[in-house]
Amino acid sequence: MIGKGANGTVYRYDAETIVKTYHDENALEEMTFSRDMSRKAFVKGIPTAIPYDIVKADGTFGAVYELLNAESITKHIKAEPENMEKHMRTFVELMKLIHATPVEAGEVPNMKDVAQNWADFLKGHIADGEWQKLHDMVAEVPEHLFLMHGDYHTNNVMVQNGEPLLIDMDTLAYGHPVFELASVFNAFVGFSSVDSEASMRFFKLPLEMTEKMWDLTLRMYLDTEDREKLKSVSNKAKIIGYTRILRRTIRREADTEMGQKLIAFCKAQLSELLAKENTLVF
Amino acid sequence: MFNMSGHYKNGEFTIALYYHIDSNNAADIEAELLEIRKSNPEGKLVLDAAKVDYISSAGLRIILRLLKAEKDVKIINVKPAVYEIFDTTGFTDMMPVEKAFGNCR
Repeated sequence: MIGKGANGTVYRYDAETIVKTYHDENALEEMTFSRDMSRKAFVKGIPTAIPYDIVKADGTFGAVYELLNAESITKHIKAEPENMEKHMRTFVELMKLIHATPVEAGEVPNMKDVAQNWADFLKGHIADGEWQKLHDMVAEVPEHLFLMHGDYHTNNVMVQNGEPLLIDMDTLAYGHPVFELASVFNAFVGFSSVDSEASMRFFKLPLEMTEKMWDLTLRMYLDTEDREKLKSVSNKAKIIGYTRILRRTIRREADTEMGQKLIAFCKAQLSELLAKENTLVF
Repeated sequence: MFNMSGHYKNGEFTIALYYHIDSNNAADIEAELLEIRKSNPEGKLVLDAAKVDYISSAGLRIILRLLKAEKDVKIINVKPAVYEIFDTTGFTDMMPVEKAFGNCR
């Protein structure tokens, strides 16, 4: 065994392959979906672990993947913070490659549909006028038939022999980059909004560093130092990011003190941001 | 050294691959393969897998790097067990992979 998570366990099968098993013995559908997404990305030229087949052992299904001899971008940054910009450049260039990869509708899920569900869930939880504006802003994002990862952060980009490799493809989708930037924002900043230790738990990096990583992501992705432009795109990503966190927290942690704080924070942020922005498109 | 060799035929340059490619020999095989190609850069690159019994992910990575550099590579004479690896991993969707004669369905 080389690792155990909330959903499954990872075993080394031989010198070059691993088997990712799921604790839920009924997870075949989920596992097959994840494996299919990996295969789609791989075939489209996204550098990722080579996906093999689904196997069954001791009553549990497992997905076989190439064993990567690699470390995440997060670990590289932690080891040499003075080279953060170099590593973030690698991170952003891979994101640009993903976003430049065309797909056909139906090949992978449409992220806009997912975001629309997040937004629509908030009806009754935020002011009616704000909810209507949020709903319309998501609805008005044009179809964008290019890949996105959906959970893009530096723990999910490994570096092997200098080459970045994308992992954890369960959330692969297509859609406008604002949806991807929202997930990047959440990982680096959003989820740490009222709990600054969250970034330490997730990345093992202090919040000041992950905030800088978010800032670098935006600058490098947009290739601009225009402060107005950066602020506006950041706001748009935050609108989707806080929408997602608010929905998630209402559903999972509304009965905790920290959950209540986060709910109040997200509502206040959404109120402020929705007053500033009229579109999610950039 | 694996004494790999290549030859030109009908404007294509074919290199015969080694029989068992895994992480123990992949780096050496790749170096030799690139050296041969460097000396014979003309024509479409064809990899003859007639003698290949097994290819691991380290071997598949060699082919991925070749695909990145050459864009147009094909693999021929692939045995059924090896074809299954190419098929399962998606390589058959990325490049021409031809089964060995007598193993075609």
